[in-house]
Amino acid sequence: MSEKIKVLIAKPGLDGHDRGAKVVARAFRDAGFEVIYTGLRQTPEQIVNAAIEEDVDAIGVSILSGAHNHCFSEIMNLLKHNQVDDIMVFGGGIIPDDDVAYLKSIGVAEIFGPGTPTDDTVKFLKANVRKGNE
Amino acid sequence: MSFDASLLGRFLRGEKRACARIISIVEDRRRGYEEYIEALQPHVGSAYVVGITGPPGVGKSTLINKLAAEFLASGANIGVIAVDPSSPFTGGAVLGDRIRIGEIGMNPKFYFRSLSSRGSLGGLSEAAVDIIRVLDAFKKEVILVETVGTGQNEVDVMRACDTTVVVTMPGTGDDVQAQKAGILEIGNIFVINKSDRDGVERTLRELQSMLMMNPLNEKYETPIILAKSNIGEGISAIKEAVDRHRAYLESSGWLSVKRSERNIRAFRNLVNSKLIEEIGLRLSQHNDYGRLEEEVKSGALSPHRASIQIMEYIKGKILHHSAE
Amino acid sequence: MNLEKMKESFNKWKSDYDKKKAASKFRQKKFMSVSSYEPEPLYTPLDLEGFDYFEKLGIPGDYPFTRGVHNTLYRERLWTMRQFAGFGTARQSNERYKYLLKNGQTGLSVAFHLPTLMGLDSDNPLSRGEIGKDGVAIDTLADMEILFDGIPLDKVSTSMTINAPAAILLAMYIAVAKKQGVAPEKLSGTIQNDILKEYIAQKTFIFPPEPSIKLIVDTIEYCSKHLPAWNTISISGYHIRESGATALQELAFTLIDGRTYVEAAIARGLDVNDFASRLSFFFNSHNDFFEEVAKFRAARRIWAKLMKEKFGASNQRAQLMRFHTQTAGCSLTANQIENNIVRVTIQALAAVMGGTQSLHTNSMDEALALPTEKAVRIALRTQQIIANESGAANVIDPLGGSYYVEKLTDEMEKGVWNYFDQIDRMGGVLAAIDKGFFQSEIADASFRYQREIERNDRVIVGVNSYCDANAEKGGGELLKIDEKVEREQVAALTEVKKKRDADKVKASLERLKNDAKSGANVMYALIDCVEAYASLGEMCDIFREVYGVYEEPPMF
Repeated sequence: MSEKIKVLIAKPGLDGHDRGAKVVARAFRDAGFEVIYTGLRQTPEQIVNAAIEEDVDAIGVSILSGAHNHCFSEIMNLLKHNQVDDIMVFGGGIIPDDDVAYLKSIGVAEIFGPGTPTDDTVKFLKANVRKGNE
Repeated sequence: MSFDASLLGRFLRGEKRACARIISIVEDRRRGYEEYIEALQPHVGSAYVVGITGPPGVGKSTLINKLAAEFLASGANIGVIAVDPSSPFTGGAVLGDRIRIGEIGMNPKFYFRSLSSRGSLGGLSEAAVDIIRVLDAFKKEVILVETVGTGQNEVDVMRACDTTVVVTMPGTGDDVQAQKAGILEIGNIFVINKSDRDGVERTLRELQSMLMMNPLNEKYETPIILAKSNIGEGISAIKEAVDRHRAYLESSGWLSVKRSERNIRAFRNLVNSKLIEEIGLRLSQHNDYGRLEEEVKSGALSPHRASIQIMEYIKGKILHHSAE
Repeated sequence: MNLEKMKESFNKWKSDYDKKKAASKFRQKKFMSVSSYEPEPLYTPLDLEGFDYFEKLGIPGDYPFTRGVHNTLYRERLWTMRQFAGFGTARQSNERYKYLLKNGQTGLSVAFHLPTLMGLDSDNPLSRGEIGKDGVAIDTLADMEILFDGIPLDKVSTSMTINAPAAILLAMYIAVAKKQGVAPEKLSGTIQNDILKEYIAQKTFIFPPEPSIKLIVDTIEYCSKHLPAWNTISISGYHIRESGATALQELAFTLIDGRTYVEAAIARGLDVNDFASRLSFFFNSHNDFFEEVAKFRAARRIWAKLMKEKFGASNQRAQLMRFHTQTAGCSLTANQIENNIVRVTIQALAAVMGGTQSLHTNSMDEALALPTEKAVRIALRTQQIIANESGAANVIDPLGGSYYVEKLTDEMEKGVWNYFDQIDRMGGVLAAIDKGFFQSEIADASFRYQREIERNDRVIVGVNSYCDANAEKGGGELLKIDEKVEREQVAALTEVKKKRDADKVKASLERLKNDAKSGANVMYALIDCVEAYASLGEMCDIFREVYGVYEEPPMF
């Protein structure tokens, strides 16, 4: 059986805007990925725990409330702390360019801002996800 | 990719990530997965498996998570497997059962895994059975398995469980009717959720009359429980019913009968799917096979005649029988 | 008009058009609105056969109000220019409000940060990272006092975008006014207070639907008695549209939410001729100019019919629909942001031609961050130019009588009644929310829209066409919320908690709990609580305890 790309799509913090997350989730499904959607208002701990339990290849973080620097860094720290920092982290939402640079510096693979075609995100994952075969 | 002893070691030491990884290997049938199953065999046997099924929208997710919380409160180590359908076209899926987890998600004794139903090949129940096995070896004492009760696949998954809980809700009679495809026969406990809604008496009566017409082999009186999962009402009654059913199965010897039947079914399913895979592979490699398929497609050859030709070929070449 | 001649002319045009379409390649395969509605290429009197002016339109200010709710409209008074604003601490937002008022804004609109929207204090661990980022941080009355410092509440009307804890913020506003010496009867403004759309779209819900509706009726009842000039609710379609709905869905879902609130208030025994005049609405204005204008006109007509025929409202003020409009946030692009100024202009113009009572225009940089002063000034100027230079404000319902617009208005109305039937067959709004009906309609619409863009069936300038890799990505200067806002806010809250009378707080919270449990109108207890400087989180925790917490159905 072929190995599907497995992605966790997470909504951290208090932000309730899930239109983008749901559109991306569907696009991923149409591309043959397996998507686990966390639902709204997850803590970084819940997100990382879910990523571990579901053995995902990547975590997609959607955040539009301005709290991205805080949320992403919490998630990156927890991944490292749990020794699962081989899971790729990417994101989308309302994130200015300056902050994108900061996020990449802490290990976020890519940020897909408003207007990014979902195909680009799909292609990026297909090209960059490491299948963790043990 | 081969068997990784260190992965197994970490699993046996209780490392969640190792468990998650082995589940993936087994679920995807990655090469060498059988070795892991073999290695886990000695550690299997402590888990009691409860299946929860029912049509969409009845509140199964909320119910299963509250039920898990009840079991956790009694000190048990819990695993939950939640099955969601995948797209029959792309094979992809969006699995949303984690949305309901809430606070118990962070309890170290709680493990939640989503599983997509991976199309129509019947691979679902096999995968589910093997994932149950992995969680069992991971020392889970109770494993809750949730499916959406609409098809044969889901019935097969429920057969892999020791106790099956069927959830419905008041409303159109269609909901109860829709479950007739086998579920009613294997349900050990029935729950009418959202029981504050109109029509609950009628649903109750319908269920009662259906159960009277389908006496279960186990001569066990099947309880019907009213619940309101959103406010946690009825959950402890469900847990008690599960405990009672378990006690019954254990004391009457039916539990071991069920489990041995399960093993036989698993064995036969595995043989079937391996056969199909193996022979299918050989067939597709044969030069003439493609031509045969083209003839069937164009209508030059009927599917039935074509299948006879295939069978003769299989008997002759693959099974070393004479063509007669 | 000679009907035969018209038909003949039209058929001749149609066959010529069809020939051209078959022969050459038109510039697009499909011509569709933002909502994927496909209009005809031409509308004529034939589309309005049997059109009854008085049944469909009426004179502006008369039933069914299709053409507008005032008979003088903007000649007497322009729409209120009300820019939504709020960020950082109360002090920072106070400065932004003063800047906007100085630049000609005529009403205030408060944006609260997510913790406040979710009933959490700034010192709650769940608030970390979110403080002041997308709205102003309000924890106690002390913050509200600073927010309106130097702003006379008897002269300025204030709209507050707050839903689940709306009753609490209203109590705070009344208390601030009291301290300024302004009597409640003088207060004018709005609380959004529309919980149904939270379950459907915006998702800043806290408590389950039934108790939330009870809280809303409490505010309606309280204002009937004490704040006669206050709009108790802003029944919103804006967020529904933003979450991906079509124009028709925005209209239908908003109106049916409104209907649900009216039913609840009537069930409480309130008089529709009284409270309905203080209900207001809030719509989105997106890029398809004519679709939006038709939507606004249909909205007024449908609501008037509903109020008169279903609820028996005889008072004109109870029949007519007043609304605020905001240009579509979801239409803003992060690329070539100057283009957004143009989009906002079109959208604002549609709202004006649609007869809005107040208007917020988005700033060009809002796909990236909260707006800078410069960007928000341009947004305000957009309204002022439309008002003073375009002539659009000089004639009431200038598009009335357009064959296209009238036909489209009718189509919208039909579509809304169909949706009403569908939802009623499901058992009403609450049942439909439970079944995930709205959410799935919206998810389908937003997915379809995205697909249209990616397949180039739909052109978005700067995104899938007319792209310019060399164009400056994003704005040069963006608004940044300083991280020290969080520290300051938490420190300020700690101070307030230290200085207040702990016994008074305890007693007032006890009263709140008892009133909530007994089903009494909680507004009175809330005013006590806010005046004792109880915090928003403390009051919401009481409600969480009594009413429970809402979990949404998992839905794609």
